[in-house]
Amino acid sequence: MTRLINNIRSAMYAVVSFKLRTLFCLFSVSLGIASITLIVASVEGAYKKAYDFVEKFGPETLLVFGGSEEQRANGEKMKALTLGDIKAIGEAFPTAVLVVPIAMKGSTPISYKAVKSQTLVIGSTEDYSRSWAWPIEEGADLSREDTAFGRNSCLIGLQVAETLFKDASPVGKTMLINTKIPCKVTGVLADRSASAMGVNLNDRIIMPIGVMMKKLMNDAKYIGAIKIKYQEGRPLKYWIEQLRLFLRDRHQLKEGQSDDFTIVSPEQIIQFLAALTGSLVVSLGISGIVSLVVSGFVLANLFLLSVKERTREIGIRRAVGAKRGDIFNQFLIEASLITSAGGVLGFMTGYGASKLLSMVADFPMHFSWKAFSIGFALSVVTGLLFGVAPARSAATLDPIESIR
Amino acid sequence: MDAQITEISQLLELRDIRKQFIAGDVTVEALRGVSLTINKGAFTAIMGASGSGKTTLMNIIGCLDTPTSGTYLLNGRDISGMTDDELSVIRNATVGFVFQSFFLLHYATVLENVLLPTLYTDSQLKHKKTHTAKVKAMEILKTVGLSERALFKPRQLSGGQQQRAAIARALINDPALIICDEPTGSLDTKTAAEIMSIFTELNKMGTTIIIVTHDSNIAAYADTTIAIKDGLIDAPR
Repeated sequence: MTRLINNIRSAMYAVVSFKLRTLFCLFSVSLGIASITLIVASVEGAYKKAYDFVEKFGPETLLVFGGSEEQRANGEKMKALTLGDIKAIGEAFPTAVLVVPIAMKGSTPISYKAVKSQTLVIGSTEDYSRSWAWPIEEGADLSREDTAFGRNSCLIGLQVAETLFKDASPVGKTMLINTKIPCKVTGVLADRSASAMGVNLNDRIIMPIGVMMKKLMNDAKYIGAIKIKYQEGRPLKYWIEQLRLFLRDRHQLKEGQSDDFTIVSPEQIIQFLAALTGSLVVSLGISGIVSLVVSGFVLANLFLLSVKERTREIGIRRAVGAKRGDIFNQFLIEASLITSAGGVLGFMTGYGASKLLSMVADFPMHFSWKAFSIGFALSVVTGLLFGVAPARSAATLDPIESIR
Repeated sequence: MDAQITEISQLLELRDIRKQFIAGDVTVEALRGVSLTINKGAFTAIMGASGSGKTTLMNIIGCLDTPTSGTYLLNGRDISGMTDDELSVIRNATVGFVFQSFFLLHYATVLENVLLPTLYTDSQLKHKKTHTAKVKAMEILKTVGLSERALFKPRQLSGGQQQRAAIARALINDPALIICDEPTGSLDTKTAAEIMSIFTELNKMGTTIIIVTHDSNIAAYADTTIAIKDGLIDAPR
């Protein structure tokens, strides 16, 4: 035991003494670890965002889109869901605590006085804030009267508020939507930063669905999607099936005819995200592992050179009583000390890089002990794996030859 | 009675030691049957020209190498058939080396160089604590007149001082035998004399010393000289 501690001591001494070798190995390993740290952190970040999203979305919540899955994939907008459907669902399912329409129109011009911008307009009922569990920072949600009487009023996201109104309070002011629809701001939604897919959620306007459909979409009948939230109790699968049958019946679809709507559950959202991050992990993971392997070869190379350079030292140690095992241990410990330090440096580099990345783009990152441990373990393994060959060549040097 | 006394005072005995090196197709016989005995407390010089086999003999006596045939008894133990690990243990505990070009670790301090052998000593046997080893190293550095240079790096020292540090390193584990390979070969005459007087002092205090040299002035410090020529003992003088 003391012997091993002494070997570690000798190794530490050499790591500090052969500075150039240490630095080169350190940097090459830390680059590999940095990229792996970033990968783990972004995967964890994506999942965390996804689960946060589902948490807020509510586990008992379903989304119904107009059009079948195939039609949606082809980009065909299927006009199938109506405000009548919403009313009918609400009446047919007493356990549905929330049935709200969703209609969207992206890149809509907006302006207030001379300031112009573009944003996403969403049609909703008075329940927007509650149904998305999204608190209001200032002012109020759309009221029942707003939606019932089709008033030109709107709820705006934080970014829209900052862009159009700067520091002034937007509540009560009238802005223009689509250059000609005057709209009175009732409230501002609280900050909700990027979604799991990197979409900025603060950049949006919510207005009464009736107003939006009539004045913005020029289509008073069809809506894009419906959000339904059920009471807890029965499994969501049951409600999906019930809802499907109900809508098929209501849309008078015959047997053999495919659905003209698509029901999406939170589970499917997570699955979609898992598939997305899965491919990300594979491509980034390969590059990370490759860079780590390259750093391993750099290490092995520098260490083999170092063994050659330190032949005399090895001979001296052997002459005063070091066994082959002592020499082997010392060099292997030197290698893993350097790589584990590289691991720590790499984690810090990865952390710093993620901060830079998040300044440029909204990319969810989550740093945990898991990310650190994976990086650290990989760095130690790299040192042990690529240190073996140099350590063995050091240990098998003939003491007589090496002190000649 | 007489035989018993010799048995006790004998430190090492070589019987018909042979060493062959195979270089390609040619077999070189470096030692061709060397037999010799060295007693405890002796001061012996091994002399010979380069290529005479004296270095091979030194390596075998110092347990750095094993003979091709023959028997080597050190402290009553047969060394000839030992494994590499066993030889390492013997070198660590029994033999102290002093080399011509000092062979100090340039990145370590003098004190750390002196302590180097203790890193490979199993703690149960000697130096129970690093502290005691350090105290001992400082004492030895004092006897070789280097205590003020303990925290210097070797390259900050003169040649003579570096060799003193190397002697201190050889002494740290109380070896039964000190082997010096041309210990003054890199030093000027005055410094060489100083170093040789250290060996004389050590020998007076009971340390067995073997000096390998081709310089008869240096060999003259020893009590006995063994001359090696063509892998054989030439003639005892």
